[in-house]
Amino acid sequence: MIELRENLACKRRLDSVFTGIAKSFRRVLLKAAEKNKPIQAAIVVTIVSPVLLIAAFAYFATYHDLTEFTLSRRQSIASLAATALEYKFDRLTDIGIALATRVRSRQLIGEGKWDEAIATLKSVREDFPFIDRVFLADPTGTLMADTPVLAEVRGKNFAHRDWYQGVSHNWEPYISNVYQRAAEPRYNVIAVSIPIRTEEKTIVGILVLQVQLDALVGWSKSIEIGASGFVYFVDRKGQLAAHPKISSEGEIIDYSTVPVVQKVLRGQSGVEIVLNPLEQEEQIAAYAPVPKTGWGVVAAESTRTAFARRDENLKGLLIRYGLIFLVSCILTYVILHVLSARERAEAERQRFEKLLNSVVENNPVMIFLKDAKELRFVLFNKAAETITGYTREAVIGKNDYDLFPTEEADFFTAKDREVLAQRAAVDIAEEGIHTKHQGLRLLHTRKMALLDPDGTPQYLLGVSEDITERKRAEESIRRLNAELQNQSIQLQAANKELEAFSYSVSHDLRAPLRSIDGFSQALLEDYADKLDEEGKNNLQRVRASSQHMAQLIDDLLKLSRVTRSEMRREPVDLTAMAHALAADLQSTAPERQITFVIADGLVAQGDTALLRIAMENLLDNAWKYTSKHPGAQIEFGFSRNNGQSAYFVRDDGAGFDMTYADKLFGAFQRLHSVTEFKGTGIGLATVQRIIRRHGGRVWAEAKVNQGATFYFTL
Amino acid sequence: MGDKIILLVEDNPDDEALTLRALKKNNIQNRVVVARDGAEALDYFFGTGAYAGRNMSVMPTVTLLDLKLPKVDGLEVLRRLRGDERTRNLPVVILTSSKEEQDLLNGYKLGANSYIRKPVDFNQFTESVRQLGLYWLVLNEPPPRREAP
Repeated sequence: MIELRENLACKRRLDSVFTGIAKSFRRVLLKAAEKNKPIQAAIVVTIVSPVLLIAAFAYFATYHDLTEFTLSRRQSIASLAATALEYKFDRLTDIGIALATRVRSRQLIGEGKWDEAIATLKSVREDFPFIDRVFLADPTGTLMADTPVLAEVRGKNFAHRDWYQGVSHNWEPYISNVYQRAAEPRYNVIAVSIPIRTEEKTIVGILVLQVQLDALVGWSKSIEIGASGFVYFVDRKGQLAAHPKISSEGEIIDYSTVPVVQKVLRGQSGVEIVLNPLEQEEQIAAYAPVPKTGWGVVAAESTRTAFARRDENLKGLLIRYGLIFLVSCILTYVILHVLSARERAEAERQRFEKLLNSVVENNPVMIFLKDAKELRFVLFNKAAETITGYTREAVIGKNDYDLFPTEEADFFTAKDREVLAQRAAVDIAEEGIHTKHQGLRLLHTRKMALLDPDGTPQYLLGVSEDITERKRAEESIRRLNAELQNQSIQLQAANKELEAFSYSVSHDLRAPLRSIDGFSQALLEDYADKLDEEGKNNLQRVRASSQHMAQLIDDLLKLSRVTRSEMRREPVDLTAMAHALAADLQSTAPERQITFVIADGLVAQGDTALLRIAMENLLDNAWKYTSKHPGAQIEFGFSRNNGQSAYFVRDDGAGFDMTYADKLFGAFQRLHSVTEFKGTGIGLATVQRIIRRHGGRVWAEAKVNQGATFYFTL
Repeated sequence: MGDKIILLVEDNPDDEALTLRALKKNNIQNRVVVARDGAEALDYFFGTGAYAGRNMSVMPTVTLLDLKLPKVDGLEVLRRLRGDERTRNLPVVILTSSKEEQDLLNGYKLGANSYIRKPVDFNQFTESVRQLGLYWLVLNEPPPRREAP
């Protein structure tokens, strides 16, 4: 148990370590993705440098192996050559021994019959062509017989020769060092000297088989050692015995100073890279001693050719690893690119998710999400908290029944189920909700089902707006509207009443006046003889009053009509209107000498009918108040004074005292008596109403007996 | 002139008296039939009610029609006259106190031949009646009379 727990703990530790590594790797990648150059470089180095290391290792290993191989091959060649030479020497020795142990020969030599003895050996050179000369010497080294015969050397003692010293040392067969022939042609040779013994083991002579060095060269050449390789033999004195490139004739070449030769003569074998002083190039020199003889074999080859294969291999290797390196670089780039793209995408996704979250969270509208199965809240935004008064901690995982009164929860849940069943959005224009802190609020809620890819509802999305205030406002607006409508109806009714009143005024009030006037006139006519002057005069006053009253009624109606009538705005040619009105006025009293001065081209925007009434009243006034002024002038124009532009009607008539100017535009207000100038005092009141209805202003300037000017704007 | 009848539709006895006085003063001696409300006027035109059985071949040469009348008002009377084959062409002069634009428009629209506002000044009124009588009873050629069906 404990072990298991420890294992688990260990595993957890490992996991956390891996997670840590993965996390930091991800961080690194992220930074790389953010175009962090040093980190990108580090990644490249991390991935690429093992490739470089492996390549270097492989290079050096291969270099080493191939060098070793080449060298050991040289070594083998040297050993092989040594063995071959040994074999040749053995063979030569065997031939010599076979010849020296021939019974007949031994007998003849024992009897001192040298010529006869050599005669038996004449066929040897034919049998073994590499044997150059055969001769016999007595045990003191004096040449006794030879074949082919060389007269000058017969009888000469050769005890100084190596072949003699070697064999006479312990009377064993002996391979001599290289020496120059005593007779012409003096080419270089070696010799095998075999002691000839009688049956009683007495040394009676020496058989010498002389071999020309060319034969050795032939042997050395028979060893296959590569393109520019060669093998040479040295005797135990270090003299060159056979060299494929050096002639075996002429002076004997001494190689005893060559280091490898010195080594091989000491019985060592090995391989070395040396500088060949003769050819001024580096060579591999493998050397091996020839057993029993003290000779040595050196196999040499220029390093250039010896290592050609190695170098070629290495070149191939470099190319291969170069390709691998290239591929790994590309791979690294691709991996980096893909990973960083993935990281970027992931980062982008997270950023977008955050953004979405903040859109949901900061939305002023209540947003909530319920799981489709149990209708428990899984999301509840800030606005939802504000509206309901519940924190999301209190809501998440709960359903409507946990939070709201049963009836409300029933309603909510029913709607939820409906939405999920139909998979269609539902708009609930108004629903009550008992909040935690604000009592009952009204919500406008839209609910819709969020489906998973196969179309099964997974969540219920709700979006609610608190419409309590709006509803209240709407309610009060509705009330206000109703009130307004009511007032408007009342106003219309009042207007209607006013109209009816005006109608009856115009119709009914005039009727009695007509009676008063008419019957007064009837009295005057029918009872003229019964009335005195005063009676008639009184009746006349009655009539005048009734007519004045009729005029008052008419003017009053005109005034009210000005206010009630509908207004249109259109271009109105005031100049033409003034001309027409002036002509009308003139026609009422053609005898009057009066000048009208009317400005040209005055066109205003306004209601033609109303403006005509206004102009009519103003011109009437001017006409009236100039009636006592012969040769008067009435002017209509447009003036611009102190930035104030206005139309004006000016006369040079009676004028008035500006002290009373404020009474000028009041209804039934008059500044002159009726006896002075007729009038009801309604004209200017009418003008003012018309000008005001046009949004303009009317005012007057006057002096008593110096005329008056009425200005108006539109 | 004796067979030319004037129909005066007038509810106000004072106005009636004054109109008759004005006619008399102008020596217009045609027979004047007075209807005191719109219904009575229609009865006269169509020979119904109090006027049932009257000689329908006799129609007023001119009708002086007040607008503001009890029972059936003047404009309605006019509409009914103009809506009937028998009375369509009869000259009707609106003689009223009203100077309302609306009344004028409606009067002409319904086919009034003339519209005269009663002046308060009796002398002017007399003058108006004189001209009215001269025109409609003397100068004007009435539409061809048709026999009653």
